[in-house]
Amino acid sequence: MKRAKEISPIFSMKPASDPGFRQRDPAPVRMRTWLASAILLGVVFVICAIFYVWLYVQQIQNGYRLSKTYEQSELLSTVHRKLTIEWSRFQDPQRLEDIGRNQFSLAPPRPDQKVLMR
Amino acid sequence: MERREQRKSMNSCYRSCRVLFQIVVIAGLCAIVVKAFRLQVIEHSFWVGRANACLNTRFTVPAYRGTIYDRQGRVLSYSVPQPSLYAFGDQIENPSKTAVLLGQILDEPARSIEKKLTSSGHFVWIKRHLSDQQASEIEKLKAPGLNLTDEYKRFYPYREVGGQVVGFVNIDGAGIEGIEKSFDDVLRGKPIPVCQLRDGGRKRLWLNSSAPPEPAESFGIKLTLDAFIEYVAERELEKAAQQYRAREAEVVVMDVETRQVLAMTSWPFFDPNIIPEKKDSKEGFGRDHVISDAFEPGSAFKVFLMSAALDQNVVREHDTINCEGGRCMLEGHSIKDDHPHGWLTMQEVIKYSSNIGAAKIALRFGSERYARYIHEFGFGSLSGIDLPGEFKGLVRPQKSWKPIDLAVTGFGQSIGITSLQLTNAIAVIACGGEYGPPIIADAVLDAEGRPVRQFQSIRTRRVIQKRTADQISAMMIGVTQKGGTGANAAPEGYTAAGKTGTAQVMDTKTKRYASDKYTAVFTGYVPAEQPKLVITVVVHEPRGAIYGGIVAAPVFRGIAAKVLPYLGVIPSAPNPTPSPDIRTANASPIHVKQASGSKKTAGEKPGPKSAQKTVSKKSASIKSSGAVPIVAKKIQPAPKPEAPEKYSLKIDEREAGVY
Repeated sequence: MKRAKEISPIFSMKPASDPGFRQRDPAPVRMRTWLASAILLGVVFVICAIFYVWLYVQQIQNGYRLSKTYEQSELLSTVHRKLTIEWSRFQDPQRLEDIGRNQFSLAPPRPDQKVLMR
Repeated sequence: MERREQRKSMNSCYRSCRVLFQIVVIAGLCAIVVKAFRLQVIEHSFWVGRANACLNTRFTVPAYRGTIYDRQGRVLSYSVPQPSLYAFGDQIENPSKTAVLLGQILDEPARSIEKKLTSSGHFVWIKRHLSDQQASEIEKLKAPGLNLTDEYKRFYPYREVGGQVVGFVNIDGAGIEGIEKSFDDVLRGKPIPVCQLRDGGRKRLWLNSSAPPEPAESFGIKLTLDAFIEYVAERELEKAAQQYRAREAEVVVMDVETRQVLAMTSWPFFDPNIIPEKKDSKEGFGRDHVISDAFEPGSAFKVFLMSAALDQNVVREHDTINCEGGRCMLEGHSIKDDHPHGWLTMQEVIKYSSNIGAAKIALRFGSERYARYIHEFGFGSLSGIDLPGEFKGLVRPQKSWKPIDLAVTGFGQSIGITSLQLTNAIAVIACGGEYGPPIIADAVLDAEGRPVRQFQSIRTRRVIQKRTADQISAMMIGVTQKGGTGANAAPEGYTAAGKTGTAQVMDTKTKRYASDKYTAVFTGYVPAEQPKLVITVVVHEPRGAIYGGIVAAPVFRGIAAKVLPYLGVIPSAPNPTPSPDIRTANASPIHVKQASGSKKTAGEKPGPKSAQKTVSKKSASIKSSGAVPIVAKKIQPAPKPEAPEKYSLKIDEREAGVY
């Protein structure tokens, strides 16, 4: 008991000059600090890993989207080309003449119908 | 003690196990490292290749073949993706059933399709360039082993308009004829190979940092050809060819200043969209006869003899020559004129197209100088036009000429030229005596339509003096005037200069001139005072009429009458018959009065009621729309013609066409 009494308490309000006063052992404090840092780092690492995976998933999804958009672009380009050729076909002078003659009963202008714009 | 002993033995066992475990772990780790080393270093390329084979897919981003435009930017030739059907024979489950289904869709005999399906276990084309409807019906079949892919088919929206110049491509997109062939390297696109990832479900995904390349169009070609002028020329030529049941006919329309070919075609025409499948029928298919076939030009060649003779002062404009009453013997051969003449001036030799006069001039001129001028005008050599299959013509070496060869060459026999050479040589006279090569391609365009290269005709040499060209022009104008052989050639309101030609045709069997086969030619330019267009019309073996002035000259007139207003060339010559055809919109009333031949002004004397109504309706609609252009205000109703019967007859005579 005597010996136990000699051992100073962990928390003491006694001044440092008191020979009976002993400071808290720094090892457990460092341990806790290290542990806290490690946990923090671990959390950051996990967050980063999740973020990385999320980014990768996004990249894959965007890759699919991009590929799909590319296919749509190709399809639209094809449609555009087909419409261009249709438009050119409509401008065929022979076709226009046939339409003018047959559908609208048009004929070349008579000489008295011509007006010269000087 | 026992416990202590027991503890000791347990510790040693534990230690042994621990050591053993450590050894196992280390050995395992070593094995992993070794395996990893083997995979990552030694067999790296093998496994990378295998992974790529599973994940990556290679495909080519197509490059469209370049577009061909006319001078106004109209599309003459264009590539469009069309589905094509192919199969892997070994993957087809029931070839006979599949063949029947495909036969119904493709409208082809099932037996031939089945033969294709069973002939090879590998890749085989079933049909290329399907319609969209056929492709969608085949997709609905969902038959294993059948696949569709997009290929590029060439379309020619204007069909036969300019077909021989534009040419065509084969099923693989390689140029075979025309511009498609001569500019094949420029027009043909280079596909871009691309590597892309593909997942287990064969779905594509793009993970590269750069954007996927888009299908690009290769360089295009802008031609000097004008689709409208080409159409007009084709219609006029076809009309004459059918009327005179000709074997073939050709026409060339060229711009005098720039030597740009505005229209060039030969009848019968061809549609590049329809290519015969049989190889035999492809012989000569789509060939441009204008540049590849030579003919004897006949009297149309006299202008070049006269140009050379005047240029060298061998004859003068007002010299006279005895045409012997229409028949004479020269160098032991009989030479005849269709119309007998006595003494003729040089101008009359051209105007009445005297063979005897031309032969005498040629003999006086001499073969050496004449041959030199023939070559200077561009005969006997390639013109250099950017079209394949050009023929240089048949001009025999001057040293082998006999006197009779010289004499008949003077009036265009015993020499073979192409229609293009003839047109370009006439352009030399029209532009004052300078030679420049004809051009058919105006520019090379990039995918956005910006020109990256321009083509121009550079005047390379002076053939005749300007003074000589003017003298010849005056003579050629005489040909198209009253009494000349080409009086049918002048379009109303314009002056024309030209020369007719009627040449006998050599029979290939007898090697003699056939008595019933002729080539009718008319070549010239309009307007005569400020030449804009050179037009050459050649009709081979016409029936019913044979003369160039009757068969070919009306084609010249028809083309000129429609093309000159289209090009904005205002009529200069007064109309030969007083008519109210052409009125000046913004002219003063006095001018209108003069033009119409009426004593009253246009405003004072309204035209027919119907015309008046139409004009009033139009002006009302213009007013209601809020826009009253000045020109519209100045347009007056047509004055009533003084002799309506006369004009109505003239109207009936006019031929239908496009204006």
